[in-house]
Amino acid sequence: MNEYDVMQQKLLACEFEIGREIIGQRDVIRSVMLAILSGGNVLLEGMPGLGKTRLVNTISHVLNLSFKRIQFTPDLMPGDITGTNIMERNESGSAFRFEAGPIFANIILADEINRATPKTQSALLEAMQEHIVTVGNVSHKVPEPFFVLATQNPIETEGTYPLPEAQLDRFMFKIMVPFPTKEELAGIVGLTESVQQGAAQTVLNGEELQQAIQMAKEIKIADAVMDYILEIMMATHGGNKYVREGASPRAAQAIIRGAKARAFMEGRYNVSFDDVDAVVPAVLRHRLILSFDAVSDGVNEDMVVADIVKNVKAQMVAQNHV
Amino acid sequence: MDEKAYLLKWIKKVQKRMNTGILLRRSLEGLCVGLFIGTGVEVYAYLRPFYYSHVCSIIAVVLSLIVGIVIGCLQRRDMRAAAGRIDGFGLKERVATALDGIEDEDRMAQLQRSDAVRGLSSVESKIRIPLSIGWYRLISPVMLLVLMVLFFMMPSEARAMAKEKHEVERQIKEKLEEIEEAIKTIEDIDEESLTDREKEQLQSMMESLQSSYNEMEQSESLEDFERANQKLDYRYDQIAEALNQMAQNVEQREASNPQDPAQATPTPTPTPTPDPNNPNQNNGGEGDENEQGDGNSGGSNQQNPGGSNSTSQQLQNAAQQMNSHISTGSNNQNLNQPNGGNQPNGGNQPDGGNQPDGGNQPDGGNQPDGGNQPDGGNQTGGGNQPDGGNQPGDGNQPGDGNQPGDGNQPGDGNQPGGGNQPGGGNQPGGGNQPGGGGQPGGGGQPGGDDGNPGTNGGGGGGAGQGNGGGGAGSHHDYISLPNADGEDDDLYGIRGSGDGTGYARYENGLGWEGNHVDYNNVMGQYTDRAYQGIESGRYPSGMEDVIKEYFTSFN
Repeated sequence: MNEYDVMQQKLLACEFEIGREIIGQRDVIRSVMLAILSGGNVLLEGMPGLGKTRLVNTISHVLNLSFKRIQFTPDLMPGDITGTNIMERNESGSAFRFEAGPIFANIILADEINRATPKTQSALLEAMQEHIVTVGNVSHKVPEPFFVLATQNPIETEGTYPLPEAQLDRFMFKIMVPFPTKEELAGIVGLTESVQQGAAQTVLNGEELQQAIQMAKEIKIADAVMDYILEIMMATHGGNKYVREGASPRAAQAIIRGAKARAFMEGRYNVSFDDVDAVVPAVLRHRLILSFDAVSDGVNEDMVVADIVKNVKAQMVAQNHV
Repeated sequence: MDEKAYLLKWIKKVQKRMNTGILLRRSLEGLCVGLFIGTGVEVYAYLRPFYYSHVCSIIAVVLSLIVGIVIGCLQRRDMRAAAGRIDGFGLKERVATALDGIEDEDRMAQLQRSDAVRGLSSVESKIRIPLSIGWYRLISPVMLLVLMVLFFMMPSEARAMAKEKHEVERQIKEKLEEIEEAIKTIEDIDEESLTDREKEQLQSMMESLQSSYNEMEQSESLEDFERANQKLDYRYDQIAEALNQMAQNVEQREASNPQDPAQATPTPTPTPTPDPNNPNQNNGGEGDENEQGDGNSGGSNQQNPGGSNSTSQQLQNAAQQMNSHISTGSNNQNLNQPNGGNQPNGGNQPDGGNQPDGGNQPDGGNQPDGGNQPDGGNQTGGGNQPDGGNQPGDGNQPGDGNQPGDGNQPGDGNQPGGGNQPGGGNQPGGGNQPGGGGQPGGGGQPGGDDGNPGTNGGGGGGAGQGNGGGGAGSHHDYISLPNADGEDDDLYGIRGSGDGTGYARYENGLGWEGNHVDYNNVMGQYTDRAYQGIESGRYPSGMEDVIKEYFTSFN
């Protein structure tokens, strides 16, 4: 067993440990793990009470990473996130000292991110993309690994500020958290209401996680698979009446990174078409801007993405099997 | 075997199999398309005349097959596609990725290659690449082939029509080339030694041929072609005779005035156009001793006619060419004519019956139309004058000189007695007489008896067997009576001014002047006359059967 296999086993163990505290939601757990393994940020969308915050908390515990939660409210200020310079008086006089905000942690949970104003939301932009926070004239690096896991509520949209496209594009995945099944719900109730609560064990640490991220990057991708990804990307920019604006190049990078991470977690050294298919919805659903036709026809992003993937696949099959 | 070689071996194996399948599929599809087109063509040819249907069908099939093969070659799959195909057996793009990084030697590439080899080994026994030809690709060509062959073999009226039409087109093409050649030959004749009248005649000949060319070009059916061909043969005949005549005139002028042939007094040239005002035409029976002498010289001229490069030689050659065109056509139709047009020097004897001064005729002055007939060329059966033939040459036929109409009797050509004239031997030009080729009577001239004893015929005697006359089996719509009135029941009458005729020179050219009567109208008369001649013993013994057979053949 080589080092890649060892790491892959650890990641599977992480998944298993998370599953001890999060009943059901296997796909959500896997998607979040893929995003973390890809070094990306995740936007979780679901009804309140589905365990989003708990999920993030558990992940940070299993991965042994520092975790900060920021509850976004309309009156939250950027400085409340990034931190601020405060004047401090000492024996030699007074001086400004940077007081780091909650963003300086490995995992940030931006709870109900759409309730803060765009100004505050944008405070996350630089940190999410560059892993740097600039306060005044000084830039501060955030600790690595650094992930932003944001949540938003699809209902109660009154008084909220939908995330702008630029900010949405910074999220690698948008993961829909579904309502649990009856069996899962029973498990959740039994887990939380019993005296003996499940406790997830720590499996990895930050350093190992960074190694895993590096290993995932090394996964090979065949030209044919790369071509498939590019075809999907191009398909979002034309030929579909439900798409007003297609995905950015950053989406292609996200698909590749996500597919590599999935192949790594599956124990392979190469990306397959299935890996691509698995991550494409999470990557594209928040990056496509639908047209009025889609709204009027009741077509959502997932349906459009599925249609695009289906068409591209049929086209490639036709080319390869003349 | 190392991992790379193992992977490549399998990839190439699958690639070859895939390409074979593609090639077979495309070839069969191409064949199907070709057979479909071919069947369509054959069906079309079955319903509508299309001569080249078989060729087109075969070309369509072959071309489509080639196109199919070419497309199959162009659609050949590369190794990546083959690797992708192997991955289809549950290998999740392991082989394709390994092939892309086949030259990489980094750690991840090695691990990935090993992983691919492991995966491939595990599914090796399951890898089957079908050719995917499909039963329909095999059945369709067979069915289409059967269908095409069926229509290919099935006879139909349209097919026969197409064949006939094609044959006509082919013959028309040949004739057109032939006419062009003839026109060029006439054009090439050196006109320096010719008189103005002769030049005009040459011009008329070319116009006449051009007229035939146009008619031939516009022919669309077999009937049109035959009609045009008959006219053409007639024109050839007329032109040949006129050219011969012209050649003799030129020779005479050169002989009389070798220093300045161009200034020689032009002898009135007997033109192919009947000229009622021509005094020579009525000069029957004026043959005299001088004429006899001319006849001898004419005979000698046959052997060495006027030098190799002279105008007369050109004219003779041209005449020979015209006659050869006629005989070619006639031979095809008169294979049973013993001395048809194949007689050497037959119709090409420049000095044959066209000798205006055929003084060699033993009948001398008794032969009214013997050598003196300047319009002999216009006589369809000039040399075959039945009366002449019955005259043993003893000059006892006083009426000969009084039968000027003989020269105008077109039916003479049909009267086989012509060749039996004792004078016939002296009329070697029998073959040059227009009746020879086109006129049905021509070929029937059993002139083989030229050497009738007792005749004074010398010179070119037996040479003139006629042009292989016209064809017992040939079909004629009409009979040309150059000097007769078409409306006149008296076929032997002298034509008047000719104004009444619907044919005029400017319309039909030189060779088609005169009047025309329906073939059926005159055939009976000719037949009756022939049988009357047999009964009255006018023909040489032994020839009766030939004559009877000749006329019977028209029935």
